[in-house]
Amino acid sequence: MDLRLSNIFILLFGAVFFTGCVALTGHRELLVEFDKTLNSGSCDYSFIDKKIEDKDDLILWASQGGSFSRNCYDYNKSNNLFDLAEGLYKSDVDLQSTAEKVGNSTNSILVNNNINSYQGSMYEKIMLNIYKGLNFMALDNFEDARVEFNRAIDRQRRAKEYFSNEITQLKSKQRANQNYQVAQNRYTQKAIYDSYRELFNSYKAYPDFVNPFTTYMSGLFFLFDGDYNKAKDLLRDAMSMEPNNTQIEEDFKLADKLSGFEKRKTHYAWVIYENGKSMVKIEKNINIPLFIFTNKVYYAGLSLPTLSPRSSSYNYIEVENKKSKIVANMDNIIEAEFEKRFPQIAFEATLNLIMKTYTQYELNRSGGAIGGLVGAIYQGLTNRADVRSWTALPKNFQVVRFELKTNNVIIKDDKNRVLSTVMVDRNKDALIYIKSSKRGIIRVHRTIKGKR
Amino acid sequence: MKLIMTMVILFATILFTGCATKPQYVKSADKPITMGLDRRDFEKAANAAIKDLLQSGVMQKRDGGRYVVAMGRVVNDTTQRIDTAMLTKKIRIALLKSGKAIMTTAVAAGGPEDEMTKEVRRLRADDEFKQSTIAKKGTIYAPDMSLSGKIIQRTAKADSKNQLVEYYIQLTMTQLDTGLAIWEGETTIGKVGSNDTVVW
Repeated sequence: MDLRLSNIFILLFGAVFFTGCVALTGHRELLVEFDKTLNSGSCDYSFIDKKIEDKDDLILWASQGGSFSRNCYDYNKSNNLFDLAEGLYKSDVDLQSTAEKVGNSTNSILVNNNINSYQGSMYEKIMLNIYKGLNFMALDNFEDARVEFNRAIDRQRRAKEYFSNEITQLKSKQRANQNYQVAQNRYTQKAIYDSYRELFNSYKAYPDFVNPFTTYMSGLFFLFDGDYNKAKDLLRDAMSMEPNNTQIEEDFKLADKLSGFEKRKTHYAWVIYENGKSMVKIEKNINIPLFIFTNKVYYAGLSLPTLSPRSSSYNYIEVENKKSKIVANMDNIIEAEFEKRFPQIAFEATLNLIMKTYTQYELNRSGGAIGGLVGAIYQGLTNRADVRSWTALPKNFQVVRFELKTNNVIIKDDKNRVLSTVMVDRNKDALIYIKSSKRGIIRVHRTIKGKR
Repeated sequence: MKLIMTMVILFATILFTGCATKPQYVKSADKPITMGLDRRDFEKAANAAIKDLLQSGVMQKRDGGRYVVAMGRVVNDTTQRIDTAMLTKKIRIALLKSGKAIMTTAVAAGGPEDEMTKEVRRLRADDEFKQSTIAKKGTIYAPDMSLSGKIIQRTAKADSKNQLVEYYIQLTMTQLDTGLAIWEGETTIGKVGSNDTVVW
């Protein structure tokens, strides 16, 4: 490599100057600040409103803002923000031009991924539609809710295709990179994967990257909307994804019964419980051997994202002496997608490290001590993993159903203490949706068809 | 030098004024514009439905009078936010023009389309209104038939780059006396396009 000090200096300066502070600081602090407000139960919109007004990383902050507004029962604002994020997923992620894709990849390799706009995950796109559907249900707008649940189901189908085909195509693109061999060296790779073995072996993935909650909740929606055949199909699918949950089987049987001519004598309430906080990405630094120079092994520090679990709230909730059961484990879904995407993330980070190590070597050679120092500072400062994700998601989803005998539903926590009393109509089915990110903070959303 | 100046001016003109597309009327073309349902799709479905319905003869009343039709529920089972009136209004207009049927707005699935029919009758208790001008009791026509339907969407991958989306626009005319569907029609619309993004 023949690099001149001045050229490198311009490149380094330019990269940081034009891409801003996030190249050096990452996004961790902002996410922590948001989570603190969200999980305190506050409805102070100033943080989110500022992000949206500044058009700052809109996919991420519109998603977070959608959850925040839902927590504050502002379903219309929540859906507007989710719509904004969904629109950007289409225009800025799905329909991103080849030039932009190359630009993003180059940014990742020369600086780091923090300077690119947030691109989200498959499971996040799916959850956007689920939350929009739930918001519309709470607004008693079943027409638009149906559209959102249909979208969620279609996105789940697309996700399955994506993970089976497109990931393979990405691998062949990687091979075209001139530093592929260096980055894919088996000792380098072993050093990386050894430190992820525990994470990747510790969870149980759902088949085909599905989220059973998507299928179950959609099935439940169609049951509420009186489309029993569609409900049956979806609940049957959900049953096979989470066979240990007998409630799903009971719901399937109910949909089957209702699809006949049997007249309704009893009505039910379903309590969906969103428990705790989902896994988040944190930065992890590992020392890996690089075989850049023919005569010696060079060890360098690599910053990569990894997943870190967060706490649960109540282990379960209890209504009429029935405990809620897990429908889907969000952490497992997050881990499965992370593992699938990890080779690309690790590959780009390794190339980034190779690039910077080369640069540092050249600067040392041609620019002496000062050059070496500049290179080392740049490498140190920009060695930041991208830890962005939609942090407002829960750890898991649970459900309990019971027959309505009175117009009051008393919901208790795992220590038999009353959490909330919800007014319902015993002659109509009810959906009570509870979110609790930590003990003591709960949000209760209620849907009774025909009532707001 | 002059050439360079001209080039700079040309470049600057394009750069600062942009190449924005000016609005224009959508011309009818053979190729679909979107993967979603658009105006032409609704026109196609409505025209086909009306032609079939009128030709079927079920709207022919024996005494030569007109049937009263109420709007049932048209379920949008797609991934797009559609106002199903875009489809049904065209059918209603054609039905009315045919002279075979008349729509009622006083009763419909999900509540009356025009609440005024009920609302004016509430004025009976209000002596500020000239009572003889208020609609009399027993004058509202009950519907003979109900028009309902469903729009279904099916999406599948066509090949490595394309996806296929099919819409089934289904309509049913139910005789309310018997609960029997006296006419049913279906229009299918298929579109193939890029699989890069979702169809909505």
